[in-house]
Amino acid sequence: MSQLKRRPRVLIVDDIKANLRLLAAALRADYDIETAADGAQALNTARTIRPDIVLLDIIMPGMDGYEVCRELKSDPATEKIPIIFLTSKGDVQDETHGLALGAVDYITKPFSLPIVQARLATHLALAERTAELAVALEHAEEADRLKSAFLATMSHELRTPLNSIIGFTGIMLMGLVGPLAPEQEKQLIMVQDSARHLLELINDVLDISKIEAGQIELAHGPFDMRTTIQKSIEKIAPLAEKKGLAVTAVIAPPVGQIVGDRRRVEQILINLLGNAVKFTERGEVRIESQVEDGWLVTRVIDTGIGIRPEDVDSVFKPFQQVDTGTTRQYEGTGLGLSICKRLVESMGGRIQIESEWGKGSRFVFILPLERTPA
Amino acid sequence: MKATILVIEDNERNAYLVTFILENFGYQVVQARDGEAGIALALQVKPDLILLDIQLPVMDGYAVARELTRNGELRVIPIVAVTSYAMPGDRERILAAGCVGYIEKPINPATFVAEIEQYLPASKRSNVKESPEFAGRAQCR
Repeated sequence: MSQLKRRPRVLIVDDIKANLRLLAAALRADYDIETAADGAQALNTARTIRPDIVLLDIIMPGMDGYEVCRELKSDPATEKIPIIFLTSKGDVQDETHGLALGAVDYITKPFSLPIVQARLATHLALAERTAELAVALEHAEEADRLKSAFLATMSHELRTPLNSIIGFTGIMLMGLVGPLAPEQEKQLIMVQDSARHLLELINDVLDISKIEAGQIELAHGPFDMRTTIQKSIEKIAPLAEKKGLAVTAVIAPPVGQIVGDRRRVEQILINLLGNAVKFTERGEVRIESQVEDGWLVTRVIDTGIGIRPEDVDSVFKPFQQVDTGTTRQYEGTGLGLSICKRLVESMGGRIQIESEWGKGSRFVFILPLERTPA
Repeated sequence: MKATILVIEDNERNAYLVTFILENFGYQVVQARDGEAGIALALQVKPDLILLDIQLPVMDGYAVARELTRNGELRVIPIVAVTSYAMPGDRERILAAGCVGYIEKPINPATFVAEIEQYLPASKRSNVKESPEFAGRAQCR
C-alpha cells in the first residue's frame, strides 16, 4: 500500500456478535478492525471508512450478504474493495453464486483461523498490487497524452517561425526583392538549406512519433512500382549529379502494379537512395527490383564507405547515425532509416542491410505484392 | 481585374510574407489579424478568396471557416487554410470546417501563388507561369 505505515483496515460483517468478537480478537494484532452486525450497517461503514477488505457473512436478517456484495460492487466508491465471504452456506452453488457477484474468495464455517489470516494477507497483497498497476497505467497513459500534445505543439510552434525564414529567403532568392550580389545569394542559399534541414528534422520526428503512436494511416491502393522507382530516382538525380555518381535501375519485367501506399513507398525509396548517394564518393548507386515468391524485392546498392560490422545493428535505431570516422561529415537527421524500417514493417514487409566496411552497402526491403488492409 | 484576397493571419511576419508575394503577382490584399476582424472585413470587401490561418486568437480558424460558410453572402467565397497544423487528422478537420484547400506551413514561395490560384476563376488569376520573376532561383533548387 502506498500509505506505507498504515495498518490494513478490515471490515467484518456478521449478525452473530460472538463471531464478530472472536474474529476481531484474532485479527486485531495485524489489522485495524471495524465490525457491522447487519447489511445496512455494513454498507454504511464501508462507504464511510473505506476498508481495505471485507469479511462478509451471507445469512443475515434483512439484507443478506449477497445483497451487500451486490451493493458494494455497484458503487464506484466501494467497487474495488475485495470481499471474502465467510459463511456456513457450504454448497457449490452458494460458493459459485458468491464468486459470480464479484467476491474474491469464499471461506466456509467452521473455519480455520490460520487459513482466514493467510487468505486475508494474500488478497490484501493482491489488491495492493492491482492498485499500484492501475496507478502506473494511468501515469503511462497520461505521459503518452502529454507526449502527443507536446509533439503537436512543437510541430506548429516551430513551423510558424520557419514559415518566415523559408518564405523570405525564398522570395529574395526568386529575385522578387531586387537583384542580389553573388555573395548575398550564396549566403541566402545557406540559410535556406539550413531551414530546410530543420524542417526535415521536424517532419522526421513527427513521422517517428506518429508511427510509434500507431497513428500512421497507410493508403491502400494499386500503384505502379516501376514508375515510383523512376520518380524517386529523378528526385535524387540532382544530388547524384553534383557528386558525379551514376544512378542506375534494373527493374525486372514482372515488377509493375502493387497494392499499398505509393507515397510512403516513395518516401522509403528516396530515403534509401538519398542515403546511398550521401555516403558514396565514387562509383555508383544501383537499384534493383524484382518479384520473388509473391514478394516485391528491392535492393539499393552503393559503392560507398559502408558500415562497420559492429554498427550494422544500430543503423535502424533513431538518431543513430553511426560514427563514420570523420567528424560527422554527413548531415542528416539520423531518423531516415529508422522511419524506413517502421514503414516497411507496418506495410507487412521487412528491411535488411548487408554491408562491407570501405566497400559499400546493400539495403534490401521486401513488400508483399498484395496485402489486405489491417 | 485581378482578385482581391483576404489574409486572416495573426503572425505579423507571416502576414507580411504572404501579402508581399501576392501583391508582387498583382493581387490586391486585405489583412485581418484575428477571426472576428476577418469576418467583418470579408463582409465589407467581399474578397474573391480567403486565406485563413487556423491558430488564431479568440476565435480559431475552424470557427471562422464555419461562420463564413454559414453566411449567405460569403459562402461562395473559397477559403484556403494556410496553417502550421500538420498532425494526423488536422487536414480532415480543416476541410470539414468548410475550407476548400489546405496549404501547410512553411509555404513554398515558389509554388504558393500557383497553389492558391487553382481556387480562383481563370479571369482573376495572375498567370504566374508567364511571370518573368517566377523564373528565379528558388524553385530550381
